Amino acid sequence: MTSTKQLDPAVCNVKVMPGAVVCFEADYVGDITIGTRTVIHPKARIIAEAGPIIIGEANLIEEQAQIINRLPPGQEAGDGVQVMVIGNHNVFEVDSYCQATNVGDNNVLEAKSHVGPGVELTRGVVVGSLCSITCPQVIPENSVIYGDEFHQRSQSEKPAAQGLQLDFLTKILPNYHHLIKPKKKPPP
Amino acid sequence: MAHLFQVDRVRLLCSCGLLKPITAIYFCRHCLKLRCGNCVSHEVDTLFCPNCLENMPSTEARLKKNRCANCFDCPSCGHTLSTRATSVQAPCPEDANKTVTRKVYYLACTSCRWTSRDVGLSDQTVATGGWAEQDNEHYKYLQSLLEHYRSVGQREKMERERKRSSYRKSSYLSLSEKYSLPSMLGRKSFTPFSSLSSKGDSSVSSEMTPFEAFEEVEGLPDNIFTEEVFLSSVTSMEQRMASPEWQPSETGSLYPLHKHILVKRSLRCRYCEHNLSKPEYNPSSIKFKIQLGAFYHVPEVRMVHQAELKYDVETRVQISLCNPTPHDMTLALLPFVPEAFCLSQQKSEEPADGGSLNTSSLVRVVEIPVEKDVVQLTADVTLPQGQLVLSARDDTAEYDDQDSNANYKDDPQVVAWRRANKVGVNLMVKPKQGAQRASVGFVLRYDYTNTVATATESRTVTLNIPVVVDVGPIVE
Repeated sequence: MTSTKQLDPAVCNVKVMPGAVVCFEADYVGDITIGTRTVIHPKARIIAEAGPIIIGEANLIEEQAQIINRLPPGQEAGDGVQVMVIGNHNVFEVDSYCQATNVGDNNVLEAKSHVGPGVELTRGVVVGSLCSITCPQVIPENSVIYGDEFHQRSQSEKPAAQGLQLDFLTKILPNYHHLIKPKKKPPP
Repeated sequence: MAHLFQVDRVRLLCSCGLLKPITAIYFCRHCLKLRCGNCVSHEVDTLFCPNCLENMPSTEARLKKNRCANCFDCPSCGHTLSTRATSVQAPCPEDANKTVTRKVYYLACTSCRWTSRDVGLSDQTVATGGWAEQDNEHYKYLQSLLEHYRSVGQREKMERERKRSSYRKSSYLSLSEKYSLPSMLGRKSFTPFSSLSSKGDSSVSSEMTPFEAFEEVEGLPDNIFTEEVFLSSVTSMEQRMASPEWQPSETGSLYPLHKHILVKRSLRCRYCEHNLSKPEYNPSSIKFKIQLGAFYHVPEVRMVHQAELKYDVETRVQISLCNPTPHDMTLALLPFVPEAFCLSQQKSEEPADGGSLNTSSLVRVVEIPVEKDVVQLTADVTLPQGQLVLSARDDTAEYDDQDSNANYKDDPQVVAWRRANKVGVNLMVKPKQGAQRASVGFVLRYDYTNTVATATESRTVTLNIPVVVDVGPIVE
C-alpha cells in the first residue's frame, strides 16, 4: 500500500472541497472542481476537454457514469472556454452519459441514460434508463422522460434527494478505495 | 445453433394446415398427430393476478370485472405500481401541541415516477387496499341497460323453450340439452318464476327509450381555439383507452387502474379429447402436469450453417436432426409435395371430424374456420437417400468420453457429423429464379415409439411430418 498515489498534474487538476468523497480510481481529465458532500465512485469518467467542469454539492456520480465537457466535432474553440456547471443534489446513475453544459439541481440521470451536448437540464428532471436526449433543448422543470419511446411527462414534485445513500457511501467508500484528498489551504 | 432465436426458420406443417415452429406445436400421443393452438380447444383453468399471484374463482372475477382488487397499474405508462412508505408529522390526538410521526403509504410507478399524490389521492395508513374508487357517472344507466338486456334474454329463452317443448320430437339435437343435467333441473325450477316476472319484464323494457340521432351537434367551446395546449398535460390515446369508463383527457385526472387478471389454460385435442397441456393449478408454479409439446416427441430440425445461395446453383446446406425421445429412432427424408399432402390430409381428417361430434360428451365442438398456410417452396432440394439412425436421448452422454459414432455406418456424403442423439445432415439446395429467400420442404418420416400404456398395437409407428425450412436469403 502506497499512499503516495497522485494524479498526473499534466492531465488533470482536480479541486476537491472538504467533505467530498472522490475516488482515485475514476478517470479525470482537465480542470475539475468538486463540491462538498459529493460522492464519486471508482470508474466514473469526468472529462473536461473543452473547459472546466464545476460540480456542486451533494451529487452522486456512480460507476461508469460519464460527464464530458467536449466541443462538438468540427467546432473550434472560439472565444473563451466552455464551462460546464453541475448544480446540487444530482444523481448520475450507473453508465449514464452527460454532455449537458448546464445541469441544475435535483436531476436524476438513470442507468444507461444519454444526454447529448446542447441540452440543458433545469431542475428536478428525470431522464429514465436507456432514454436519450440528443436534440439541443431546455428540459422544463420536474419533467420525467421514460419508456422506449421517450415519453415526457411532468411531475408534481422534484425527486427526493439521496441523503441517506450519500451518508452511507461517505462512510463505506474510504474503507476500500483511495481517495483524492482536498488540498490544504495555504495558511494566510 | 445459430438459429436458436430464430425458431421461425424451421416450421412444421400442423395437421390443421398451418405452418408453425416446433415450439408452438403440440403432439397428440393418442391421435399421433401434430396439433397447434389453432386446432385445439382452450379451457380456462385458473384466474389469477399476475402481480400478487392470488387466484380468484370465475364468479368473483366477473364481479370484479376481471381485475385484481389490490394491485394497480400505472395509468400513465402501464407499469405495475408499487406501494411506497413514508413518514409524516401529524398532530397528536391527545395533545394538540405535540406531533407524532406516522407511517403513510402511497402508490408510485418506478418507470415514469407517477404517484397517487399526482391525482390528489390522499395517502393511506394501511399498506394494502383502502384506495378510493372513482364513481362512474354512467353507472345507473349501465345497470339499467344490463337489467333490460337480461330480461330480453330471459324472454327469448322462454320463447325458445316453448318452441322446443312443442317440437320435442324434432331432429334438432342440442348437446347442452342432451347432456347437461344442471340445465334440466334449472329449467324446471325456473319456469314458474320466469312466467311471473315476464309481466314485469315488459314494463322494464318499455321504460328504455332509445337514443335519437341528431343532425346537428354542439360546437366546440370557444376557448379551445384561443388557449394554448400543453402537451404534457394532455393524455395520450393509450392512457385514455386504458380506463374506458372515464377516458380522462388531462394527465391530472389519471387514476390508478386495477390490474387485469390473467388465466392459466389447458389445451385439449378436439379429436380424442385428451389433454395436450395442463398447467399446475397453483398460479406461482410454472410447471405443467401434462405438456405434450412437439419438441418432446418430434425430432427437431435446425439450420446449422448459413450458406450463400445463388439462383440455379446447387449449394450444400447443413441441417441438424435431434432425437428428443428415450428410444432409438430410424429416420428418412422424403420429398414434400405441398398440394398432394394437403389433399391427403383433408381426406384422413374428415371421418374423424364427424365421429368426434357424435361421441363428444363434455367438450362443446365449435367449428373452426379452416385456415391454411400456402406452402410455397422456392428452392429445389436433393435429399439424402436411405435411412438414418438417431440414438436415444441420454442426459449423461455429454460426460462420456468414448466415441460411440463408430457403431453407425454413415455415408460421409450425407452425415457431416454425429454427436450423441444429434446428427448433421447435408442437403443440396438449388434456389429457383425470382424468389428472395430460399425455402425447401421435405417430409420427415420416422419411427415413433408409442408411449401410451394402453396401446395394444405395435409400439412403433411410422409417422410423416412435413417440414419447411427457410434456408436463407438468395444473393443475386
